[in-house]
Amino acid sequence: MKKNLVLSLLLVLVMMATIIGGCGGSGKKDDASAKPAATVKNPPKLAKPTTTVDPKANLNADITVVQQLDMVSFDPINTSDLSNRYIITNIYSYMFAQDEYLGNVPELVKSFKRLNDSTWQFEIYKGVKTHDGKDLTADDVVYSLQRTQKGTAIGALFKPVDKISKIDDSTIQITTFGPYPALPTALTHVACGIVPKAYAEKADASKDWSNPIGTGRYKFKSRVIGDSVVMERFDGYFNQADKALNKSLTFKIIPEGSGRTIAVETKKADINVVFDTVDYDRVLGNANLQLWEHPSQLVWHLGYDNTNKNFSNKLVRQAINYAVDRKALMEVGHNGHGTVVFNNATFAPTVLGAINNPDNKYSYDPEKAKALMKQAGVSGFDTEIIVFRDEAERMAVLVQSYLKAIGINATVKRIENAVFAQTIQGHKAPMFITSWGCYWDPDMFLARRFTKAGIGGVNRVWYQNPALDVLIDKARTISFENKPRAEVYGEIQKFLADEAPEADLYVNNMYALANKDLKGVEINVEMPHNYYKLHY
Amino acid sequence: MDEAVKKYTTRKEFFKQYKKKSRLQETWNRFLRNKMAVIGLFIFIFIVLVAITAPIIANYDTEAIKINVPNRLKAPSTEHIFGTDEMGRDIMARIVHGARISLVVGFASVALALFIGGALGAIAGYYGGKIDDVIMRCMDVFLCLPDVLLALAIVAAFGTNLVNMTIAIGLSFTPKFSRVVRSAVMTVRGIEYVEAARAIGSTNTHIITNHVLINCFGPIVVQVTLYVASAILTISALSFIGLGIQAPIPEWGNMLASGRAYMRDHAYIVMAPGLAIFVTILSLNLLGDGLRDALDPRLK
Amino acid sequence: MFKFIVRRLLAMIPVILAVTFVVFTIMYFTPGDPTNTILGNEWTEDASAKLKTELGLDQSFLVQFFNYTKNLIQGDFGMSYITRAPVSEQLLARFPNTLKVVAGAMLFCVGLGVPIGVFSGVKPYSLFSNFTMVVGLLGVSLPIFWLGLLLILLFSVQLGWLPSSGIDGFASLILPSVALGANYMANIMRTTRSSMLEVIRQDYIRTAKAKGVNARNVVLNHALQNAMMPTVTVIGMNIGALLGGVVLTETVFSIPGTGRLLVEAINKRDTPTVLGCLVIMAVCVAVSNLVVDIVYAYMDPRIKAQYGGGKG
Repeated sequence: MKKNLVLSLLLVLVMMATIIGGCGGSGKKDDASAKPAATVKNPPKLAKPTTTVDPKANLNADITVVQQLDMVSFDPINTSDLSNRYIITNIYSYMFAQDEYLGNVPELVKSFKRLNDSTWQFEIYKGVKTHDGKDLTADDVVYSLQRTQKGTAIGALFKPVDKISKIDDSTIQITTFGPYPALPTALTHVACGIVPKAYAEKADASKDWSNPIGTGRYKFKSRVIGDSVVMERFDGYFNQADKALNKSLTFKIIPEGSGRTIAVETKKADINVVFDTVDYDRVLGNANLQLWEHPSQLVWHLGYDNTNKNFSNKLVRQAINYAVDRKALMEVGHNGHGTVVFNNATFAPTVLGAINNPDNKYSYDPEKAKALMKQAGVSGFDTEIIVFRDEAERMAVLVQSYLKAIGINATVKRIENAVFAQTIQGHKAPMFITSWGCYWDPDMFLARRFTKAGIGGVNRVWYQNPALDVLIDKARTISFENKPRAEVYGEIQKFLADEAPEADLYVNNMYALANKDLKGVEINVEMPHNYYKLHY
Repeated sequence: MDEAVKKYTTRKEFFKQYKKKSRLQETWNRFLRNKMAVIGLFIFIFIVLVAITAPIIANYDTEAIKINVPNRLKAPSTEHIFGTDEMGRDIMARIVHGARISLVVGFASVALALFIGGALGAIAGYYGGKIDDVIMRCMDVFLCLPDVLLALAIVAAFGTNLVNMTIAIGLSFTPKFSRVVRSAVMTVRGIEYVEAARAIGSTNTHIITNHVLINCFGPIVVQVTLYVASAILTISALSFIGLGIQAPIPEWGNMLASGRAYMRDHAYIVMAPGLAIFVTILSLNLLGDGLRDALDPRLK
Repeated sequence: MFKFIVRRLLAMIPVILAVTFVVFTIMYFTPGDPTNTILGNEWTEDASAKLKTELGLDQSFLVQFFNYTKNLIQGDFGMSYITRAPVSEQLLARFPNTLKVVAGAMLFCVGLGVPIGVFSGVKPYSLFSNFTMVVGLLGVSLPIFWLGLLLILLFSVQLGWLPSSGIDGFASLILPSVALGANYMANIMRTTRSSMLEVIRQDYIRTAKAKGVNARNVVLNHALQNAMMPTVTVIGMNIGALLGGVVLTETVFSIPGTGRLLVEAINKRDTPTVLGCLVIMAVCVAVSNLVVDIVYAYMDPRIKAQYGGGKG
């Protein structure tokens, strides 16, 4: 009997050893930093907008898209979450659609003109059909936009908007408080989805938006909450020159990064639009997959509370900008996939008028940082770095060590993202790391982030300066043309490089992982988009 | 008869063979005979020692916390026994420091549960009647919520820091403890010496503390051991789903969670923390089982 | 028997109410302002005040609890702060997935645990029995989430036999059920084994053997029923633990169930959804306890007789 006990113990140990050994088998790979470029079979391709379609292509495929988070609601004004936007923009049409750089390209608008600096008139296409067979009229457009205005999701983007009214059955008029060149871009915001008045009223009354009616390229078919959303091509779409190139779209929700990659590997999905760079090396070696990349306009930055006495001295703020190694931070945050940005105004490199490293001022120079601290007469202080996301947390721990070298003792504190806003409000975030997604037009974010108007909103660094306000206003009013405005934006960046209200670090790359045969993959500076163009 | 007596030179020696060894001595001997239990004890003592000497084994700041980007994701080697994690930190250093947290929270939360639950259970068991009913009904309500969920609710409401977690886990064990203490107390309550003590006029409190609780010692010790295992499991579980100890503080559960994304190509990153949890709980279970068997009244 | 069931059902109601009260109280004292979550970047004082009145957050605690319970009875779990849609919508969509995993785990537990326990109890000193004893001991100590990760590593990553996430089809339920059920299967196995051991040693078994009844009959007809009692108790006690563990399983295997909904809701500070999940799980535990009590009573002839279930 004792013999049996010992025997069985041995048996179990052997079993466990094989399992653990078997599992760990793949762990003998080289560490991530050694990337032998010569053996990379399948380098990532830059995703450019699709302009031509092969006449022999299959335009009736059922495409499955996997993403990380579930959508929230089919009500356009419910939320600005990305996971929601890129699903519902297939159901609803917009006055203007987003282009590659989050600028605007007309969609429902046939033409538009400006009667004067604050009056715009937009002509809507005739014969736009809704999914239930009716015609879209200017009344629907006006109703939708007024609803958007009343809601809170659009926020500051509609602040300059005054009245929205109908001129005739296919023309609407929007008046603004003062010149607002960014109005067309503002109309690309997800909350501006055009919903037929009849459906919107019904859905609001019954608080049930689960069976949306729109005018977009797809008709809603079904949804399993937490799992999937299915939609089918709408053959009555008004713009047949730019219709859906596939028969149906199915969005599957897979929260786990590797799980999404596996889904594409096993052909359960056609494209993964939230690619986890952990799998970067693995997918490059896989000939059945194609990784697409695109620079983003998501600026990761280290912010600090400018009203906090520790950061009130400009020299200290500049010192911080010299103390951090942006390249290493990008390595730790996004495995090195991105572009380093030396800026202090949250300008991504592809934004209008962006200058990377205005006046070539900053670099990774800990000695200079220490000298600046000395010059400021600050020997050191204690502070806290607030984060609420994994990448940010990794970066914060690294920043902590950089700051320590110049005498600043920072502790890293992780909070839930839902309370980030109130932590900022309560001046409880002396330093923080997060990302900001830029629109192509800086007017959409400069005032909100660096002026008094943004305090209590997204001016998280509590910075304000009358000189800057003048410049921002100038950039908006100087012209409706890009070139003059870009020059003023250059001035603004130089001004803020000296003021250093925050330390921008890098923009990460956007990726999409697809089946090697999938065509029509487009990525904008925020997410892969235009899924209607996917085909085989 | 004469021969039997001849074996012993004195009456004292003769009666020695019938002298009852102290209960503690007997129990301890029985425990020692159980090989598995002894192994469990040794493993657990080893873990405690590792936790105590953690700062000597590996420096907290330089090895367990500091990010070392070039050192990322290195496989196990002579330099890093368990490899390095996604931030370049030595996994062994983090495991060793993580042991401190797990053990401290484990013991503290069970101590809290014992204190509160024990008091409630003792009162309920001793006084019986209406008091017993009321207290037990309250405890029943809490039993309807699985402990992980109750701990989750408390953490969800009050935030994730060490103190809250200890309180949350402690509170979730309180009902179970109260039951254990209550039944132990009820068993002992009727025994003669309690009646005798009452007869000579000891106050109720005196009886509870001096007679009743002492005799409940056995079952309570067993439960404490098993619940510490459970508490350690709960804290790693909560940290795993992100509602427990947050990075960069090394805790076995959150190490598993953050290493998971890299699991496909670097499987070792989830081996060590998981093994640590497993071995700790195993040793405590063995210990608890052994204690339970040793204290089993049926073998007396 | 019927009276017994009815009595227990009625006793369940105040318990559920009390649990709701406890959970509601805990969530009520959550520090922080839910309007921050809902309004996010567009938070202003006015919008906040307006929203608070709309959601009824400016009323007293008791009034809020009363309203909540009143709605709960009618099946209205309130509106989610995040989706602005009824919480019941999410719960109804996700709960079946949780049930599937729990059912799978129970099947695994009982379907494997009991027979193995019985066999090793019948032949206590065989290699098989010792083996199961060791496995049982180890199984009880395995953390669910680690086992889940190991299973994924072995069966999904290395061998590619089974899917590692999601819930399409039977294959995707296998790994989660095993991960969730392993602890309790080990428990059940050990309990069944030891109670079989005890029962087999009893006199009446020896008598039956002596009378010449064949071994199998002895086990099935005589020993099993009596040995089952502790096992049924253990199964009952474990259902609550299973519901706690399902949260972990759903996280590891990315299953869209109530457990993960709870974790997501906690992260987003969506109190109504958190409340809804906790209440539903508590109800589950209460109901399953009731079922176990009934089964237990049915099996125990003493209780049966007491309630007139047997012959007069």
